[in-house]
Amino acid sequence: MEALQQLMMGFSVAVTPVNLLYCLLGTIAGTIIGALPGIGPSAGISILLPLTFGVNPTSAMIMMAGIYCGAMYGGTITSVLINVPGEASSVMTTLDGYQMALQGRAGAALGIAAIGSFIAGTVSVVLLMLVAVPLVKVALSFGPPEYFALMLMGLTTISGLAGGSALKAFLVTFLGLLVSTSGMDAFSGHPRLTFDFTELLDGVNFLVVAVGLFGIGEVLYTAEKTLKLEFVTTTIKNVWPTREDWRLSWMPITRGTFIGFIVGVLPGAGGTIASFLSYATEKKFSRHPERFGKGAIEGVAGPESANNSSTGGAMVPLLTLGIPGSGTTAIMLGALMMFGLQPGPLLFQKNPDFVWGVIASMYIGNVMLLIMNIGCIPLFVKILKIPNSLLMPLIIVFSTVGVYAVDNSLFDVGLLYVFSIVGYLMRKFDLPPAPLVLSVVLGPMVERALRQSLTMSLGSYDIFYTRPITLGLLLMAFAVILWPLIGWIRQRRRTGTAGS
Amino acid sequence: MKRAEQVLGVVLLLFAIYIGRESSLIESGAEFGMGPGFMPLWLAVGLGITSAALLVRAVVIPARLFDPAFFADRAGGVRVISLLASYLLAILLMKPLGMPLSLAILTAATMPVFGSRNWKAIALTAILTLFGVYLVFGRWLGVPLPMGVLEEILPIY
Amino acid sequence: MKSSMRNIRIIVLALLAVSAVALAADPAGAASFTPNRPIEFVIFASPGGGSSIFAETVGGIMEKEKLVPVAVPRVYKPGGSQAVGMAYLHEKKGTPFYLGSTSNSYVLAGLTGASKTISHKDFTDIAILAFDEMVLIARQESPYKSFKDLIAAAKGKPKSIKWGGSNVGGSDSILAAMIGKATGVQFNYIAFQGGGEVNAALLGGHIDIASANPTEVMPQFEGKTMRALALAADERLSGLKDVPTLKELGINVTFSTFRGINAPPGISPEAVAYYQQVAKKVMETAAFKKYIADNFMTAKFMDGAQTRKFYDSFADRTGDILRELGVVKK
Repeated sequence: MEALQQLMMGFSVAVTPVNLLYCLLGTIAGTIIGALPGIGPSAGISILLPLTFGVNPTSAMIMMAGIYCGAMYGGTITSVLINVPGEASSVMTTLDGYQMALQGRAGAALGIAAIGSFIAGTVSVVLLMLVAVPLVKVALSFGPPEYFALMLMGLTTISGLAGGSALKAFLVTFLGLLVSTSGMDAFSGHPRLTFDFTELLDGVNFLVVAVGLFGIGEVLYTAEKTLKLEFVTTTIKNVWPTREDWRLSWMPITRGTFIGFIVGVLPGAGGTIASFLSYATEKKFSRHPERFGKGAIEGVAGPESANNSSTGGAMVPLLTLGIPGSGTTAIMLGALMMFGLQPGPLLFQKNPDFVWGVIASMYIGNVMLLIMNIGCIPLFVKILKIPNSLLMPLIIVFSTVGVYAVDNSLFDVGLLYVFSIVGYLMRKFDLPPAPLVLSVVLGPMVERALRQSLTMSLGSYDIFYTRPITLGLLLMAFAVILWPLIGWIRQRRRTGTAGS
Repeated sequence: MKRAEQVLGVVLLLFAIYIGRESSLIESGAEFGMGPGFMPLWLAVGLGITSAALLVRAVVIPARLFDPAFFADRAGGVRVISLLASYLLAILLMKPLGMPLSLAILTAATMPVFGSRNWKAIALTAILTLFGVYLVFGRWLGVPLPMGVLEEILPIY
Repeated sequence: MKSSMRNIRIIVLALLAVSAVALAADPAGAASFTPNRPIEFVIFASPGGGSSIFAETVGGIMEKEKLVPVAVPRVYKPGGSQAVGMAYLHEKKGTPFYLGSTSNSYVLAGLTGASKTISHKDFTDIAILAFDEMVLIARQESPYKSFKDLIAAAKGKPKSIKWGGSNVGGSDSILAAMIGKATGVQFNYIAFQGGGEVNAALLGGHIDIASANPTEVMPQFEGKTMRALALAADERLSGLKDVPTLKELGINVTFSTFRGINAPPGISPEAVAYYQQVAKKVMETAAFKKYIADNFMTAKFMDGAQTRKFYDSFADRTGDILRELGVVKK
């Protein structure tokens, strides 16, 4: 029970008034900034980073962890209420969350998201405490071939995510992957498909695509229809999910928690893939997959739990090895170095009060966030009562500044407007936007992992079936492809026999 | 919409051909595995095939299964186009006038599109946008907003 | 609406005129220069990396120790392997209230064509303040206990050693190519996204060797998860006394990351002199010395002319390598 003892010590660090204050400040600031459309955790932390300078490292890290978790919660609010994901990891939440809001169940969606996030966040901190060290060894055994297989599995589930025409889902996936190839090729140092724009050398930021397609694209669509978005506002006060909601959600929350934590631990994978695998899993497990995309509460509960749980997971490689597991933790690492504290394998031994203080404050932060979010849902939901003539310009303004703030780039703002047109047209032509955003995120990872693997093996494809984890994941990817096919054949046979 | 979907198919097909041509100029082989041009080229081929399928589908499927026109009504089309025009205006003004001011103008331009005819409310919102963006993002969050002509009057540092 | 728009326009124009007059009234040609408005310190990268730590430290010292009478906000302009930030700074031609934070990629961007039109030659050089050395690392369990082991194992077996690093054309790949050339060994270079991924791959045993700035991996040495094989510096580092330099091993390669300050083109010599003085004063502060010690760097001041000379020779040295790597078309 050494861990428990150390956790107690951690709590004694975390509950000092100063640290409690920083935790509270971090969670509030994180929630607010995460709730602004277009600004997610990584942009949030880099914007708020200067606020932590001049503070001691422990308090600063507590505040950053607060911002990280707070921004995750905050991102949900805009995804559900106005269909603008604050981060790639909340793209999945928009699919059903926004539909729920349209049906007057915004409160329930935000409620289940907050509760699911709380459970997932807390469990992932427990896991972080208990299994950090053994787990990180497993995570390290993931090399390029394993990542390739994992990402490929992700890609194969994409087309199944969108309801409607499979042809259109494929078309959009190709389009997204093409967008993702733009930029400097790391393996040869040559620019490709940049059309002589220096700004494109680092590729297209997925956030620009996400906010453009979902947020401003939706604004254009609304403008055409002029009809006020028909939010059913009568039942909005029902924040607490119903018994039925609970029955549907507890398994997705549990599964999401574990998926999120495991994927979060893998350096480089992070919340996006976690939320996305969770959504795909829930859709697969559901007896009524057709409800997904039309306001299924499982589609909110699972991914939201998964992306929050991934924050605990992402802290594992950071705290045990000093290796950032996500874009956000990479910024945190830089910040810690600015404080003269270099996380590494000895951090647990050398700075136990720091590590356990941060872990304990993550528990406290999660409690704060739960209370704050549940308490504020009625307030958040009031956003929906703002008339369109005010809400739509506000969405445009916040999305614009938010996207600008990520890289301080006006080019990105222009690109945002271009993608809003694309989003509008996609909406008109019934092309699903989620596969596009996800393939922009996954595309570079798949390609990089594939080419790294082949360079490692000197060009031999053996590497993909001689490594057990790779083989297992690849088989799973094929299963994902074949599953619907088998289902389809069985169904045909059944209808065939019924017919004869 | 039938015609529109055909146009979409053609445009995407042409886009795929263009990207495919561009990518074919990039080295697609490497010492081991594949070169930089490999993925874009084959993705363009994939996009080409799917968009050709979309085109065929749009030709074959009878027109009654589509919405009759691209814009449901003329007014809706006008609204979309005026919104696009205000985006264009805003992006052009962003450097010379600065972000807060051009967003204020964008707000003033888009509010009428969404049905507000209350000029006072529009002016007030625009002014609030100007100062809100400046204070919240520029001052409080320290985002280095381009301030353009307002640089001397409203410093962000 | 129309008239109110016109009024706004008139007000804006009036304010513009007033500010222009105010600017013109500035003693532009005065003999000495003192900044009278905040100095924007532009970082051509994202927060978190080495450039950002350098700029935050130096900018913070300027503010806190009151070495300049104004604020020094740090502004991040990442993208295009530094080319986006460079273009931004270049636009500020003649305005002495902007500084940039330079490192290897700043010179490399002009060579690789990341930056099509501008290179390091198009800026005003202020100074170089420090050098961040590069250390070659392998994981603790690696069969290669020393750099000699590694070279011996690699000789005669081209591409048998997997070297992980950032994108081809970046510092890691240049160092790998230089060492390869000097030893006659062909490394199998694998590009990763950023140092975090490289370190994870090294610890997982997916690659054999990598290079890093000492500060990034020092905790790994202490934790006995990685070992240092050699240092690409002129002399051994005080924090890594038992790690030999490549030169000691008979391989004539030195390579490091410089940390410097530049300014937009066309600023007055007075402003340049002013900022050089400030840079010198920064280097004398205890906070800067602590930064250098904490990060195992080498402090070394070079003035504008020396800096330019250094950049030019750096460009010559790396240009050949980049051509051999195929990054720059011959």
